[in-house]
Amino acid sequence: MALLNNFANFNSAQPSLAVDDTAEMSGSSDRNCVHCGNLFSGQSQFCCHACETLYQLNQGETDLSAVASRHHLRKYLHLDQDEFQQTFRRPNNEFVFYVQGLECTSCVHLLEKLPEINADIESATLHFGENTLRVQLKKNASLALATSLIEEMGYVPSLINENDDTEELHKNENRTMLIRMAVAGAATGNIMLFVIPIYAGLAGAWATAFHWISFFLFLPVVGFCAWPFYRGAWTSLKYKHLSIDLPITIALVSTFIYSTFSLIVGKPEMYFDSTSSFMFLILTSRYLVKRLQQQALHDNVLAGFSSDQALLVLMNSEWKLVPSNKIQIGQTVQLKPDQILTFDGVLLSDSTDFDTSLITGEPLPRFYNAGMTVPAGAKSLQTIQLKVLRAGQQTELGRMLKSIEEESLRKTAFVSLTDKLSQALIALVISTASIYFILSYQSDFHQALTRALSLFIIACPCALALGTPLTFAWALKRAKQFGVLVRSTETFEKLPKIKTLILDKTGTITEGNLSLLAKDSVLSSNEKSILLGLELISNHPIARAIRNEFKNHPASKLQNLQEQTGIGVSGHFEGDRYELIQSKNVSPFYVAVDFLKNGKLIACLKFEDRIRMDSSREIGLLKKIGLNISLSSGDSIPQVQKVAAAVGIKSDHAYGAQSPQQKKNLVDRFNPCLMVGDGANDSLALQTASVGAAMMGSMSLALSTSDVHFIQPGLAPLRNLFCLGQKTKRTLNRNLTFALIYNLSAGIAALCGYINPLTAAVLMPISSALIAFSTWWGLR
Amino acid sequence: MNILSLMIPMALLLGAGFVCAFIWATKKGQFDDLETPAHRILQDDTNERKPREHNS
Repeated sequence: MALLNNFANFNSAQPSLAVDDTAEMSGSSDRNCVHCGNLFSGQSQFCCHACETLYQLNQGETDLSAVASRHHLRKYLHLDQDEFQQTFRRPNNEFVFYVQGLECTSCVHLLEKLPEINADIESATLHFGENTLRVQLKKNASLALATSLIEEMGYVPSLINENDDTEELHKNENRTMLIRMAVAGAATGNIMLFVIPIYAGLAGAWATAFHWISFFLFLPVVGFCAWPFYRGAWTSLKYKHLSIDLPITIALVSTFIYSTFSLIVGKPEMYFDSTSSFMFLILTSRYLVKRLQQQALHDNVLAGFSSDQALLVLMNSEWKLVPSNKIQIGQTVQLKPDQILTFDGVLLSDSTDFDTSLITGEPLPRFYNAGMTVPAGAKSLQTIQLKVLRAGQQTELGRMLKSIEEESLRKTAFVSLTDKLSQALIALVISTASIYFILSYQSDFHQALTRALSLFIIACPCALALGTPLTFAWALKRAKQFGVLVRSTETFEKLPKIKTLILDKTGTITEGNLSLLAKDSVLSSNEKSILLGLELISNHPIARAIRNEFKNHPASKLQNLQEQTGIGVSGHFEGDRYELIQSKNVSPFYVAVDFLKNGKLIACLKFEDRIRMDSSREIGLLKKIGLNISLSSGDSIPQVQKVAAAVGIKSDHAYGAQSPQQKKNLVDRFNPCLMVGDGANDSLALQTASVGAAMMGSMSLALSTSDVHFIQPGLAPLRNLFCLGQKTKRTLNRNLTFALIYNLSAGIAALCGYINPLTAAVLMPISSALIAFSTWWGLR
Repeated sequence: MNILSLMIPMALLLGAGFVCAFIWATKKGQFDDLETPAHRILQDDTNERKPREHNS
């Protein structure tokens, strides 16, 4: 019971853990978490639900194993079927989940305690950075139970199958890169050791020996560590798209050849040390950016929209399980509760309710009569049968998915500013050096060579090659600290250009599920028990709201429990007949049900989708930054207007009854804009927007089509993201300006002969260090 | 100066040895996840703790 408590608290807007000094809401003050001791501001005793659960576990107050019979289990029952397990099973009976909702150390502890909670789970290992949980089950253990336990703890689990598992891909890439870095670092350090005596004045046989040692130490750098740059330069030449790898490669190779030549001939100009240190620095900064970018889930994963579903299809008078993508038109399909339609179907069973939140975003179910066509994307609340009418791209859902794919291609065509600038600079350097060399090698070969070489080494774009990735790496890290996962660094370049914010209503501004309007209902303890008893088996959002509201209350056992879709539930208790039916009291602003005893009205319960606690304040603050805010929702117009007024959005900026296509049109009108959403019906708009942001706990389709994921509840991370965008832009600009000035002045000096390759090689790490400092300063 | 002809190769061998050790550790996967172990060590092992008596 206590766990349901945690779940409900977690879903409602708890004050976020973001570094935010204006978090004085509803009389809360800074205090230390009773479990982990961290300072936080809020009303409860714990900083997060994981801490609360762990504390209760330690005190023995909670028995998590009692969770086994929760209604979450029903949601995942299909996972225990062989076909599903085959898709997701890894060697050693391991399953991998992508977990949303990870916040802190306690989350790691809580999730890794799974084996203690359920004897069937052998081990649970969390990868905090990649948000994945590896669970190893005993033979014949229930995958459904494991999944429902994770959800019961307050997280949103999604299974990942092997093909989509980017963690494996990343692993090998990262390891190779790390090894390259290590070799470059070892080579650099050792070369420097041998070069210092020479700088100090050593000469003679030992000096030659040390020079040769540096040469051999440099060989692995040029032969192994620099491979990514050779590949990049080759691709650059092949596709005639100038990338930074090209001048790096040219500088590297030419310095190597020149140094080796000097070594053999006996001249003193050798640059093994500076070149290898440069390699090491660049490899390190690229590695950092890569690791940070990998934390947000890759595109491929989660795009498998309901791929983990198999539905019962009537074939030759027998019901067979068929994966949802193999179902054909004309077949009769049986859907269990919580299964999603992947086709448009004609309802063959009796009239019933469907949860259409996937396509409309609204929590209230829609009623369909027998014979009506139910659209793809609807979720069944009962066991029903349908006849497949349309599938794939002929359904609205299919078309939307196709549009998303097309939009994504258009989006990747964005070329960043730094990219363009780099190309211009590189072209300039290469052409200048070549022209100069061609013009002057006749007169004095040695001088022409040294000057051209100096130019290359100096212009070897440390600032660009180092500065830009370093800036992005820092920005990504900062973003994660206040609860935002940025999936691609282009987002930072797009953020400063955004003038309009488009918000979805349900799940973004509001909590996304129904809550009881407390002041209207005063029930006795017995009545509450009976109410809970009535709604025990129902999946209806109202049932969930009632269970949340009276979480710690015991439920009575009722006889003759009946659920009539579209009308309500009824049952008997101690001789009396109790009913919970749709109220005659109808309003666009709330949902009402009448609680009847033997036909007489005891109470009228009203439910509404509450606005998150911090929405109003956050929207006000976002307006202060200078953003225009609009609201776009699939819900009815009066409801949308009411919510808009409550949070401070102008009524002519609030659009109701929007279909997914209409949301996209709105985004097109206001692009470049930032769209915030959480449902599958927002996906198309999220994809189309310059920057799409998915709230915490979003549907997987929304996650895979957005550029930014929030990993903390509420809208607070958004404001911090904009501030970070500004800072990043300033730092990038500063770095680029410095790079330009430095390259221009140094380049001219090199051509005039004022800088020899040695000086150039010394200036290189100095400029790198300056860039690194400037980045740290700008984003601290 | 003769000692240097012993010291330098030794130092280089040592360096190479450490690089090999690093490569081995990387291939074993020790550097795959650097963030989670930091969280893990703070865990309370309440269920496995056995009371120990110290008599000194």
